[in-house]
Parts: sequence; C-alpha cells; structure tokens
Amino acid sequence: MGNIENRLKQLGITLPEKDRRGKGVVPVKEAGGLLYVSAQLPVDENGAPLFTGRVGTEVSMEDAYAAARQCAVNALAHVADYVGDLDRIERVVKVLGLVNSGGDFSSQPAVINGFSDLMLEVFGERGVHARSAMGAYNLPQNVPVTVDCIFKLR
Amino acid sequence: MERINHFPASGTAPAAAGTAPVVHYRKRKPIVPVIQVGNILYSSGHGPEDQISGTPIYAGRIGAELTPEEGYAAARECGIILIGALKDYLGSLDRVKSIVKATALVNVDGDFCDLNGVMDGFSDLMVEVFAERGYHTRTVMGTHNMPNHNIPVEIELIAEILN
Repeated sequence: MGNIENRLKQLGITLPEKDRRGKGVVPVKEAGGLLYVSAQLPVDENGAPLFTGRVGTEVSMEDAYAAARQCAVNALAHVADYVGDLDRIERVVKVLGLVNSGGDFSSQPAVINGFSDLMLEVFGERGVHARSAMGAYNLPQNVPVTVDCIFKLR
Repeated sequence: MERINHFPASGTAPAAAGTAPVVHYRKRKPIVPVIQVGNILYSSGHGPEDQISGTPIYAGRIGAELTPEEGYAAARECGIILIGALKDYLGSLDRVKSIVKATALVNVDGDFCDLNGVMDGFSDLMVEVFAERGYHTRTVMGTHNMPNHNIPVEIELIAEILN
C-alpha cells in the first residue's frame, strides 16, 4: 500500500468503489503526435442513428453518402472538443471506412467519399489522406456506415 | 502499491491455465504478435485461441451458433491473450502507458448488430486491468467469415509504452 493510501487509512477514509464497466471507450486518444478517433456513426446529437440498414438493399447511395458525411462531422466535433482549435490539426493521415453492404454492393469507395469530400472542403490540401474502404456484414446499431480516422497534430 | 502485473482470472482461460500468463505463442514465421515503432506497439489480430495448441476456445457466428454472452466472453478472452502478448514483449505491464486503439472483427449472422455489446468484453477488461490507462478508441465491425474454424472475434490493438 502506498503512502497516500496509508494516510487515507489512518484518516479512516475508504474510497468508494468505482464502476468502470462500459466506460473504456473514448472518442479521441492522443499518442505520439497523432490523434486516433474512434469509429464514428451517423448519429444525431442524442446518439440516435440518422440512417439504418444495409447499403445496396435498404439504403440508397445518396443516403449512404450523407451518412458518411455525418460521420465526418461527428469526428470533427470530437476532435475540436479535444484539441480546442481545429487549426492545431496538421493533416488528416488515414481513414478506414466501413460500409454495411447488402447483396452484391461494391461501391464502398463512393460511399466513403462523403467523409473524404468533407475533409477536403474543411482542411484543403491538409485534408488529403490515405484511405481504406470495405464492406462489412453488419455494423453497430445496424448503421450503414462507420468511419474511423487518424489526424496529425501540429 | 499494487502493481498491474497481475493476470485477471478468467473462467474461460485455456484448460488448467488458471491465472498463469499466456506466454507460449505459436510460431507463425513472418508474423509476430507485436511490433514496436518508437514508443508505439502494434499488435497482430488475436483470436480466442489456446496459445499453445491453437485450438479455438470459441468458434462460430454470434447470432447463430453463439450467444451475445459467449461473444462478450470471447472478446474478453482476446483481451487476456493480447495482455499476455504485451507482457511477453515488454516484460512488465507497468511499461504500458496507454491502450490507444482497438479494432475488432466480430463474426455475426443474420441481423445481429449489438457489436458494441460484444466488444465491451474487451473494453471492460482493459479498464479493469489498466484503469484510466486502459481507455481507448475503438472500431468494431461485423464480418461473416473468420480464420481458424470461424472464430467469433478477432482484435488488434495499438498501445503506447513508456521508455
């Protein structure tokens, strides 16, 4: 037991047990000058999905593109919250876009363009990034798109 | 002061392994469990497999052969195996500065989409073991086919270590 814990014990103070379950996930984590952003869902400010279903069978291309764009907005909101000022972002590094795909759907890159286009509109040349886009069999809450990304800090 | 060099007991650990660290990795020649670049560790994808024999501890799709609870336990098992890989590489888990990012593939069938509930098996464990240092960013995706007799979960992680 450490000194501080001993002191607490002498004072007769027992720290309350903390329930940490289900609290392990954070939206943004910084390591080595990079910002890692958790997979973003196309959800509104209350966390409710704006779109659900598989692209190609239940969700149209236009809706899927809009969903990817919403993922980008949500990612920027988390990053802005973390760094304070988005000018601190040196560049977008890497993007992984997952598309909940039904049937023979194979235009995943066109869907994730919804994310990439916004990054270019916002950051200009600094928004150019490496990217992977792939079809998933399902995604959390049955959303059509999730996107995670890595930013470099100035 | 209590150290975190302590392996959480797991009811689903490989047979008779008890709380002993999992250290015997199968030798897959060009692929290593962990690579270090600077202060960042990148892990390979790890499934819920016996680390000596390679036998899957869980096999099948969640939503068909496996229940969500079994999926949660499988994700927790992946976490234990990954912590074993980190300990194997670092010597002491006290050198882990933080778990940065986890990416999970979850083998699902039908309309099952509580992927976050499955992956919480991993995330809960990280927080139980590393406390605040275990907080991480996360990506979870549903897939339909996985290696080694269709394991239900595979997880890779990025961790930052102390010098």
